[in-house]
Amino acid sequence: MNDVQLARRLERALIDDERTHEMGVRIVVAGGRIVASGEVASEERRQAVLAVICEADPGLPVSDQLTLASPDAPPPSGHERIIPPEH
Amino acid sequence: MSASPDPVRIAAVGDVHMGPDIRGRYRPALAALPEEADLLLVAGDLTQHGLVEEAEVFAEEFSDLGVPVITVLGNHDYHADLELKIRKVLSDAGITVLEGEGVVVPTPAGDVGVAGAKGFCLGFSGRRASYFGEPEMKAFTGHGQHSAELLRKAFQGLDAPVRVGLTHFSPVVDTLSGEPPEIWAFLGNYLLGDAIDEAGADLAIHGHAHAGVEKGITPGGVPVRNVAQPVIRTAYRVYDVVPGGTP
Ligand SMILES: [Fe+2]
Ligand SMILES: [Fe+2]
Repeated sequence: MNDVQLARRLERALIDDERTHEMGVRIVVAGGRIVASGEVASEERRQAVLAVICEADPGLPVSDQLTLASPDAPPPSGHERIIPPEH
Repeated sequence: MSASPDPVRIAAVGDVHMGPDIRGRYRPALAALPEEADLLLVAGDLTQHGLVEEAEVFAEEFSDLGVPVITVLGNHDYHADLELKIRKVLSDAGITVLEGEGVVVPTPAGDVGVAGAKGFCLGFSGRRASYFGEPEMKAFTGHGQHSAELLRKAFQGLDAPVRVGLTHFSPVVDTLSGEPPEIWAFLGNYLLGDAIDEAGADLAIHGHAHAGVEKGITPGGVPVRNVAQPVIRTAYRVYDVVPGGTP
């Protein structure tokens, strides 16, 4: 298995695994390590992602570059005026 | 010269993927909703794994907000085959779940009709799955076609001066920009766009495409908004729509 195949296999595991179902985590395998990046919603979801990668046991060190969504309520946003088509 | 009529204020978000680990994250941001909007649409993927306990967290966050809350389910909400139980948790909490149905919401600026259906994969004109070959392929394609029929049905008899299509899957490719083109066929279905155009809707709201963009338009000119939370990065967007079109 080459680096690209391993990365795709890990991304697939993160989508399919019952603990994660994470669609937004990107895996790159380069320079003899696994880099996980992308945003997850909570520390629990970050730990689950790392657990799934480690259990796949590729024997390479894992670099955790995941970012956590803000634990605060998301900010408000303004209004957009919608112009419907002429029917 | 008369003042332009008041707009209907439609708040929308999708893909909040709730679970017990993020309980309490949305509710504070939704407190001002009655001042900002007349209703809230939630475009599916209410839960992360499709579990009832996650739906209960969604209900805690999104019930009794002071405005009607209208949802469709997303693919994540179907994952554990518990979608009927999830619907019950939501409806018991006063949250409307649409699948092939429409609902009319009265607002100070006039009625809003919301036609809702989850939608499905299929792809887009010229790059779509065909109803041909193996039974598995026919099942996939058939479900995509049926999902658009459900949306079409939801618009039938929906009588309101402002009408909105609410789906989880995308009706257009525009809002998928940023997603790899190889997976567009799994993110949406152009027949949903056809249903929206045939109905003469004023606005189409969807989610699902977390790496897409917010704004698009159907071939018939209906504004499309992808409100997946990772796209809008806010608690909700508000779209102001004037009944009867532009003054
Ligand atoms: Fe989603
Ligand atoms: Fe989705």
